[in-house]
Amino acid sequence: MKRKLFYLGLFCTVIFLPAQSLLADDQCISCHTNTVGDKQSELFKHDIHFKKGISCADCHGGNSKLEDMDAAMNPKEGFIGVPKGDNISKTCAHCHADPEKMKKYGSSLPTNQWESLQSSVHGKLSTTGKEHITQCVTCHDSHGIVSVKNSASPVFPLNVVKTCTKCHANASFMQTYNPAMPVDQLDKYRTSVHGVRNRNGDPKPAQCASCHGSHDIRGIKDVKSSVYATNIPTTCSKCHSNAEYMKQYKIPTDQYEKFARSEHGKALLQKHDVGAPACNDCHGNHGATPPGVESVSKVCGTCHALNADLFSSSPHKKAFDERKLPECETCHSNHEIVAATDKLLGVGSEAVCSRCHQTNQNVKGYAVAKTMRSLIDSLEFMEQNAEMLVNESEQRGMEISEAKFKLRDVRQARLQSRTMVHSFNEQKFHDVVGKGMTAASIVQGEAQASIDEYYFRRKGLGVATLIITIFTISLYLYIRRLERKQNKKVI
Amino acid sequence: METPVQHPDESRRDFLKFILGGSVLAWIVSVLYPIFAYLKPPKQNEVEVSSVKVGLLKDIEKDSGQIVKFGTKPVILIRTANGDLRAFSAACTHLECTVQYRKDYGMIWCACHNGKYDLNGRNVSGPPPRPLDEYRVVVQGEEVSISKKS
Repeated sequence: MKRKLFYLGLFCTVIFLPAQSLLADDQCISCHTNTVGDKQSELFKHDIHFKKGISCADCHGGNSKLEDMDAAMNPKEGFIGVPKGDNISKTCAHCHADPEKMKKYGSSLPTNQWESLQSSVHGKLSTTGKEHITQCVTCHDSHGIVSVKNSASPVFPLNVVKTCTKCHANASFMQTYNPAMPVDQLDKYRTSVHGVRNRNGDPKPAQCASCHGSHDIRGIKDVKSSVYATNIPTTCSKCHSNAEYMKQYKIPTDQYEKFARSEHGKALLQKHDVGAPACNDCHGNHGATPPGVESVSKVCGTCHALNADLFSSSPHKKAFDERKLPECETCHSNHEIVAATDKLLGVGSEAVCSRCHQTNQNVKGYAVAKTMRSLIDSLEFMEQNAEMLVNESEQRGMEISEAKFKLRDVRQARLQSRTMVHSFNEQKFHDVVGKGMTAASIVQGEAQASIDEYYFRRKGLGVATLIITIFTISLYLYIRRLERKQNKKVI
Repeated sequence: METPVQHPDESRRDFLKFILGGSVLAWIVSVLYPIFAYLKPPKQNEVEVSSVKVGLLKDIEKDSGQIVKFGTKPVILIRTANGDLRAFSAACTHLECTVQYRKDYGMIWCACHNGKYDLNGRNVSGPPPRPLDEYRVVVQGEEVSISKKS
């Protein structure tokens, strides 16, 4: 017990001794607290820097040990007063960018914040031309700075939103450097699952800094930004793929793996197609929330508009609504959306139609699905056959550009028929497939005629060559006979 | 010992045989080569088209679009309501369906997946990931032609 008390006393001495001794020696604190009575000096007594033994003079310059105010605040003593503009951050960086100094104070903080801030959008943009938009104190305050883990810190997870929106929800301020930038992020955030939990005092759900970063914040079109389209899945997965972190929320943590395997994920992450959807395109960004059952088709329909329109006017719409089935997701899944090949159509083992339509259940749909699959298979077969004939003709050197051009119509009809599936209307589907079949027949006919023409020309060439050869040999033999006759006459 | 003297006629005949033999050989080569070349044509890329004539300006209505065959590729020629002529690749940048001009939208539209492009070829709605490639429209007198942009 005595030993424990000894260590506790030693700990308190180590922690509070620098502050107590500073308080006694520091004439700045003494004068500003007792005589001036300003707020800054009062706040500074609770500041983490003060507790680490850092004096007013370490930032403002001057000599804090001199009692004479004029002497203490003499520029010859290095007094700079209140740092202005970019000098504010430079003053902080004086220690925070120096690993040796930070080590001296027992800090484990990274020392690249100043560097990161300079390369960030806040460190590059300026509205006045004299200073950059954001200085360290803009977010951290100046005299009452506490650790980020302290709930009183303006950068504590529950306070970050308020800190960022001091500027980002201020339309007149934001207009001064980016008039197009929205200022309703906070309103949207408060509607999100993250925002609701944050408001209820849970520091774990994402706030501004979780997705945008803190010192190294970059514009959304900057490829290095954590919220650049191709980086968003990784940013979200920092939390959403962490099973331990997400344990209390009881939601799956395999979304990233599924998304990466999906067609959307392959387009975005492998082909770097920034038009492909990332997490925020379906869930929203600041207002991130899972789309409700009734919203799924609207969300998917922002890109797959025709499919959504056709589905909305199809007989399936009512059936899905009655059963509370999410429209697109029921057949195509959500995060792991596979390529929508023709296998999904019909009544085979891989077909999604057969999940509801069987020979003894929803029979009409079963028959329609079977017919549709049969039609699309026929069209695909005809397209392949036409393409093969066109290639063969082209390979033989025939001019086939007209048929090759028409081949596009066949492919187009096949793609349109895949969209038309979502009408679940056999007649409409048949009309589209029929156009493709007609075009395929024409292409097949033209390509076959071209190939036949090739063989006709080849036979013709053979016959012509034979005739010329016979003629030449005959000519040769005739000349020889003439020579022999001439020789006999000479003898 | 006496060396045999070559008859002048015999020498001339040898020369003629040499010419005849050479001619036959050249003939065989000149006949066989095209035959083999014809039977086994080289694999060649489709002929590159750099420009096509569309027709007369007076025949192209304002606020209309038409598909023009540019080699084996389709190009959409649009004449806007105020008479400007613009041409773009008609292959949708999503899945290469052939796009068309929709008077009611005042836009270029893809029937396959409802992709929409404005009259500058920029993708503005639906799944197309990028704008349509632009072609140059040249009007010489009354004659309108389309060529590839260099």
